[in-house]
This record gives sequence, structure tokens and C-alpha cells, in this order.
Amino acid sequence: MKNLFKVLPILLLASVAFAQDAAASATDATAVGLRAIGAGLALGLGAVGTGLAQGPIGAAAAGVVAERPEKFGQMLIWFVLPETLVIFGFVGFFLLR
Amino acid sequence: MTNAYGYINGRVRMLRADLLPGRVIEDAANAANYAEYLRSVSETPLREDLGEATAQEAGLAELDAALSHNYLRSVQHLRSIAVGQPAREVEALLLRYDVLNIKTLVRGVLAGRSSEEILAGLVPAGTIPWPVLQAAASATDVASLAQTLAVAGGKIGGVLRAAVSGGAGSLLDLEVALDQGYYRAVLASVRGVNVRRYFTREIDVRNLLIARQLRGTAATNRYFIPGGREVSESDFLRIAGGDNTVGDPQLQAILEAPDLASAEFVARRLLDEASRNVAMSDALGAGVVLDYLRRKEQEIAKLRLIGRGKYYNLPADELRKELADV
Repeated sequence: MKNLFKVLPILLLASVAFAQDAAASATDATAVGLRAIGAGLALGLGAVGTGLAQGPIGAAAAGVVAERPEKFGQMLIWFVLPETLVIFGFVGFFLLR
Repeated sequence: MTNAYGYINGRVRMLRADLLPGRVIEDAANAANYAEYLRSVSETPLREDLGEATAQEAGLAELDAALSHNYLRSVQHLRSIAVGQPAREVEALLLRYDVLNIKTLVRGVLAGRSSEEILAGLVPAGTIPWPVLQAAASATDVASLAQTLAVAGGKIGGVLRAAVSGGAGSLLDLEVALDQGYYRAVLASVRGVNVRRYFTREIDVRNLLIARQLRGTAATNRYFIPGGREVSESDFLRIAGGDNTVGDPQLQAILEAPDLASAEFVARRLLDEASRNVAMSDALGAGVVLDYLRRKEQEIAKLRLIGRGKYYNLPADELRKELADV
């Protein structure tokens, strides 16, 4: 019985120590998951924003080029300008990875 | 999700960029004679349509035909690029030319003008086919004119038929009936808030002009055009009765103009401004098309006027004064 009282604190301390390790690893996993979600959102929302912006710009650019084919280069610049949103998304993505 | 006007307005903006800048109109107005005027016009995108107008023995008839051809081509091009709901809205905007043409026909028939004279005053745009307008121009009275237009005269032809059947006989009765039918048709077809706002403005302006015209006669609400925003039926009757006040300061200028001609000039400037505003605020609506049609109409009217001025050697000051009224 005396031995049991000697061993029990050791076992309790050990279990607390193991529990702390497990909690620490669980917190790490949550952080990694949240970062992954954040990175995904940064890239995904940037791409969605680009798509939303390029829709009307593309339609208008197609109209302009239909009347004035020589304006193609200028319209292309306007069309690709919203791509910067994806680039910002990429930056966020790599920072969060 | 995609707005069809994004594409259409992109094209229309380019068409608008092809309109002659004020500098070119100024050069044409400053031309020393008719030949120089033709030369200055032939240096513009209109040269494709000038055709016989530049021939040695060509006169005003050839110039009118050339300008009409250019106008018609522009309108047909505009119609070809719109499909679906925008096409219906563009057709509704083109009803304006049907109203103008039918009014010209009614005036011509009532005044007993020849079909050639009437045809010279018609605008080669709108939804009524040209052969139908030609047939209508040879009508001998308003009843037969209405009969001709009832078959293939579109919505406005039907309005004229209904007005004649309803007993409208005077020019004012017929013109107001045409306006009422036109604005009813337009407001039923046009969806965009900005364009509708423009038309409510136009209705207000038209009501004020009619009210001014009615002064001195027994004012009646059958000449009132419903659909406006600032000028109610009671305002209309009050102004027709001699009162000179209206809530909107810009519209007030129409009432303060010394005579009807000046009032019409103020009204035109007001609607030009409203049209420019709607083109800027209605990037994804029919406002850009509306503004383009208005500007194209003015361009052709100015070129026609300058052509006449140069052909008959009108003094430069007179011509400038006439141009300011367009």
C-alpha cells in the first residue's frame, strides 16, 4: 500500500504531462488547419473577385474590340488589371502557408 | 449575371466616339462655299455615304439622301448589335422617330403638302419601314393616313388610328395623342431606372410646353401627358391657366422664356443635359444608347443645316444662330 502512494503521484504527474503534450499537439493542429483555411480563402476569394470584375470588363472590351479591332491591346490591359486581386491572394496564400 | 449592356454599350461608346467632334462641325460651318463644305465632310467618316452628293451637278437632294443614308446605316447598325431585352429597349427608344415621322406626316397632310415635300422632312430611322412611310406620305387626308399606318405603322401607327377613330381632328389633338401613346409605350418597355427618369423629365418638359401653348384657350386635362414627375395634372392646368411657377428651378426656365420658340430651345438644352447625365450614370443600361441616338440626330441635323446654309450662301452669323438652335 505504501508503494502505491509512492507510485500514484508519479503516475498522476506523468498523466498530466502526457495530457499537456496532447493538448499542445491539438492546438498546433488547429492552428495549421486555420492557416490552411485562411490561405485557401485568400486565394479563392481573390480569384472570385477577379472573375466578378473581369466579367463586365471583358464584355465591354469585346464590344469595343468588335467596333475598333486596333483597341485590342488597350482593352487587354483593362481586362487583366483585376488579375492583381489574384496576385494579392497568392501573396496571402504563401504568407499563411 | 452578365449584363448584356456591358457589351452593347462598349460598342455604342465606340460609335459615339465616331461622331464628328465640334471642331469638325465648326470647320464645315466656316467653309467658304458649298464645295468646300462637301470637301470638309468628305474628310470625315461620313465620306462612305456621300456618294453622289459630291458629283459635279449634285445639289441638296443628293446631300440629304447621303446624310439620310448615313443616319439609317447608324440606326440599323445599332439595332443589329442588341438582342433580347436590350433589343426591345432599343426599339422603344426608336419609337421617338416614329412619333416625329408621323407628326411630320400629319402636319404635311393637313397643310396639303406634296408627298415629295413630306418625305424630305422624314427621319430615316424608327421602326416603321420606309416603304410604309412613302405610302403614307401620299395620303390625301388624315383618315387615310391613319388607315395606312394602322396596318404597318407599328405601335405609334396604332395610336394615330385610335386617336382619329376617337374623333381627334386638330393638329394639337393628334400630336398630344401621339405623345401620350408614345410615352405610354416607352415607359412600358424601358426597365432601367435612369432611362425611365430621363423619360419622366421629358414628359415634364413636354407638359410644360403644351401648357404654354394652351394659354389663352380653355385649359383641359385631355392634353396632359401622364407619367411625369415634377409636373402634376393640377400644375399643368394651373400653368395653362396663366400661372408661371413650377417647383423645379430648371423647369422654371422653360416657363420664364419670353416666347414659345425660346421655351423650346431651353427645353432642348435641358433634355440634352439630361441625356448626357443618363449616359454617364447608366453605364449598364439603355442610357448610353439614348444619348448616342440624340447626338447622332443632332450631328445629321447640323450637317444638313450647314449644307443648306452654304448652298444658299447664308451669312455666317445667321448660320451660327440657326446652329445654336439645333
